[in-house]
Amino acid sequence: MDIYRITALGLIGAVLCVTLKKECPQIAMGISILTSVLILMFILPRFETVFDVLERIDSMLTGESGYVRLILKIVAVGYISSFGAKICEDFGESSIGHKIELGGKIIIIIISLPVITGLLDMLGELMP
Amino acid sequence: MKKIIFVVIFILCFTVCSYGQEIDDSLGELNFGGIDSAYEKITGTRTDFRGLVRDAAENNVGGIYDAFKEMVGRRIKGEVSDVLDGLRILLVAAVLGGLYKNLISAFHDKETGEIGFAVSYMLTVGIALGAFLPVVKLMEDYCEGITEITAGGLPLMLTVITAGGRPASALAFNTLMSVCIVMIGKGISLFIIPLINMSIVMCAVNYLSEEPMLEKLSELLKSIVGAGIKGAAFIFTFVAGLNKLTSGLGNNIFMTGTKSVIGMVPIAGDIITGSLDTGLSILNSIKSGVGVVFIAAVVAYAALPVLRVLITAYAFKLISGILQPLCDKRMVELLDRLGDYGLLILSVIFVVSYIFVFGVMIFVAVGSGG
Repeated sequence: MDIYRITALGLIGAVLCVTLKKECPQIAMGISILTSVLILMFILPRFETVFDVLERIDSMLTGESGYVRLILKIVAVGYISSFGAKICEDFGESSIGHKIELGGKIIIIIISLPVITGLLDMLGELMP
Repeated sequence: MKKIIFVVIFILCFTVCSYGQEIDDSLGELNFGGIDSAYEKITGTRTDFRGLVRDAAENNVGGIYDAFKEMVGRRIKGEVSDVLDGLRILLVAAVLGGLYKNLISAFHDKETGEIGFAVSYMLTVGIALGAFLPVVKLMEDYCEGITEITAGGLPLMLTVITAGGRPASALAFNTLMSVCIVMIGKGISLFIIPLINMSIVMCAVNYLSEEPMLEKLSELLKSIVGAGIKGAAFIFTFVAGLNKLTSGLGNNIFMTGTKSVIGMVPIAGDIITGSLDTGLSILNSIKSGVGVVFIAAVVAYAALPVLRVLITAYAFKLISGILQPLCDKRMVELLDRLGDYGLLILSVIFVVSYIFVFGVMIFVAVGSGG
């Protein structure tokens, strides 16, 4: 099963990082990033099934389309920024990690501007 | 002969010649400028006191009522507009403050995913409000439509009642009822509906943030609306009572059953139930086909909005119940509150329908001599 492979890969990567961190931290960082990317590559094909279901849900929402796509974009941006930030924090560069997270948050705000303006318009319609 | 001469001299000495003048000529000699300018200075509105006195002298009750309605109505509308303007500014500030607080708290010491959740939460609130907006529009259109129907049918009702042989009492009752119906109809459109809308907006903004920011204000507005609806139903029932049409029917299975159904109407059900005796006694005396047709038209017009609002309100409550084990607490509470607002809107529709249908019943009863 995939979960065994993912767990095994993660454990091997963690052991290598811990071993090499003191001797050669640059290589340890590289191994950490590589392990994370490999795990993602294992998982991503499985998302196709999830995307199909979400597209079906999106098509069921009559009149208002694109909401599911918007949420997926937000989730993707959130995950990618979190991914990078955590790796930076693991190697002591928490300030860089925070900047990556800040960038992710700003991009999410920009992506979600139509939602915010739509909500404000709706509230404006109700106000006398 | 001497007696006749004495009588003629007596008449010539003790009679005074008086001349009748036209009212306008008499009023022309009086100076109304002082009171007109003083009233305009105090209230800021212009009023024609000469016209009012003319109406009073000519016993033009309708003219006096129209002028009074104009004077009071304009001032009340101005005061209500000022209050609503202030509330609107407060609401805009609260909404922007709430959104700003959400954004800042999402940025501070929070994961990126949490701001993503906040945005998806805003999206869900927007979708829920979007689904609820048609109900609000339905209420506004219904109140406007029912006022137009009644205003359009009033001349016909007046004709029928006058033809019944009671023009004087009919005119007095009709003027009083017209003022009541128009004022209550306008009051609901100008005051209650905007308050309901603002309360819904505050409720939505309240649930956007983790901490309730506008809960007390939203509840206050909702309670004011509830009191306003009850007040409108009470005023109209009181006025109907003044027409000496409060005979009860006693124990009656139909009335008991109908009372229990109408008592379930949110907020104003108890007041409407109290006047059901009057309504049923009038119904028994309805002889005019015009009245029956008018009531049937109003009931037919009301059926679809009532059904739609009822279904929407309970749909929101049902969805709230279903999502409770799955969803965030705020979203569940928001959907439940939107269901409550749906029931509030239902009570507004019921009260407006009750006022106009009951008004028609009274018109017909007056014309039938009931």
